[in-house]
Amino acid sequence: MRCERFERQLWAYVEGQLLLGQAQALEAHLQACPHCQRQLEVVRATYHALRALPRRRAPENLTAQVRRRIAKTPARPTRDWARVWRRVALAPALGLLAAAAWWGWHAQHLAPSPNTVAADPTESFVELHEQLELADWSPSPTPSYFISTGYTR
Amino acid sequence: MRAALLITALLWTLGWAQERPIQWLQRAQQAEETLAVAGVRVVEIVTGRTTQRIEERFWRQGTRAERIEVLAPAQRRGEVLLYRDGRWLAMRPNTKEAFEIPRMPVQGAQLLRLAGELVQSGVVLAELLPDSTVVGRSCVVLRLTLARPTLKRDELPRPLFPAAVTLWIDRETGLPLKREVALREGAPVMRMELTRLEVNPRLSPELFMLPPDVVVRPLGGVYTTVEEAQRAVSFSIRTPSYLPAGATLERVIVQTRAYGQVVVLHYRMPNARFSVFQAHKSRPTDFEGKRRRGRPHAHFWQSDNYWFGIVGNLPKAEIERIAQSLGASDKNAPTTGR
Repeated sequence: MRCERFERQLWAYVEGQLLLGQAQALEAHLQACPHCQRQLEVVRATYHALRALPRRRAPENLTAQVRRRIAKTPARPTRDWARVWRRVALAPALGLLAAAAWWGWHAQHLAPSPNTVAADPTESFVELHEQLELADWSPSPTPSYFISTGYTR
Repeated sequence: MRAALLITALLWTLGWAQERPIQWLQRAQQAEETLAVAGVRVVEIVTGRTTQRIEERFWRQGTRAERIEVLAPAQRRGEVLLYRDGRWLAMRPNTKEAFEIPRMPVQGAQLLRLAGELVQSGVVLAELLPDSTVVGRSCVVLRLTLARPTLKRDELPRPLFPAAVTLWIDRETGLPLKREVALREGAPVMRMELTRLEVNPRLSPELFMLPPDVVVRPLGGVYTTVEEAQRAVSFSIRTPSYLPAGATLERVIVQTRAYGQVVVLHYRMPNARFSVFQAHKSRPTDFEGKRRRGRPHAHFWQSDNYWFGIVGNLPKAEIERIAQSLGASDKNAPTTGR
């Protein structure tokens, strides 16, 4: 519940729009919450990606052009070109948002927590076996020697 | 006359272009076994979340002698591996000690010889892909794939050969300049690529010799018998009382990991490899045992204060039988999967 409250404030925090007290409370929470730290990274990455998008100005005479076209084709269904333009401009932003959200989810759900790795050696057993297997097909004995002498740990 | 010459040239070109994959394999094997070469190569092993990248300079006199100097990773920079008279030695920088590495064959030529035999017997399929360039040299690209790559749940093991090997073979010398190996479909991959090559360099015999005042010792952490390894381990190493026919202990590895010491008994069979793992655990833990596509068969269990694991490309029933011989039972809640 606490996390939900702070998560809602992350965008405002990144944009510098939180009140001083709210920002301090959020920062204190972030110190102790790896989940919100990851969320903050996702929000920051998305925010910077959006800011890095090229800004394009609409042509000076766009409105006049659109009006002329509307006047020329009265029988055809009309289009709100400004809305179309906004949608086109929004597409890459939405793509970036989706990618950032996926990345955040992936980092959260698939990356093993350090505790799991330390407590459960099964994955490291499988990896070590695979490394030994693979190294035998190397044209050089170095990988096998490194794996055997613990380079992987 | 001109037409006859043209037809001859065309037939020659077609014949050359259609040089069979097996001939390229044989050329590559011969080049590996006989040529004197030097250069720099990068080897990458990608397994699960881990990627190892090793960069090394090498000087090789066919299969007779080789010297390797490690350039990366940084913590291993300066290590030297020497091959001569059938044995590999490893020497760490600024020490007067060298370590004998147990049973490491000259692996490049070995793979090519095995590949050639398997292509001729139809177990491995070979196809030529479009030509490519490596270190500025024109290469034939040869892809080798197992005719029957999958290992079903209780199927007998397939031949001990990767599911896919791609070789970039230098048209001029026949040397493989790049190779990519995948053990199983969707499984980890090993890549090797030369970044510098010198053919027929002058190789001084001293290059392959240890400095005179260096003492050779057995390599710590890697043993050929359980008895040797036991001296380096704080707990009693258990060995399986059942082993499949033809299984031989290839090496015993002792490593210290985050969860403590782990002992790996690595076995080899004509058609399979498997590892028996054991580690002492400080507190009871549930196995997570995430399985991913392309992984080998595995069986994990806990007994007393130990973690056990068996991983390999053996039929699952065989793995379970080995586990039982090590004391695994249902109450130990084993995790088995692909």
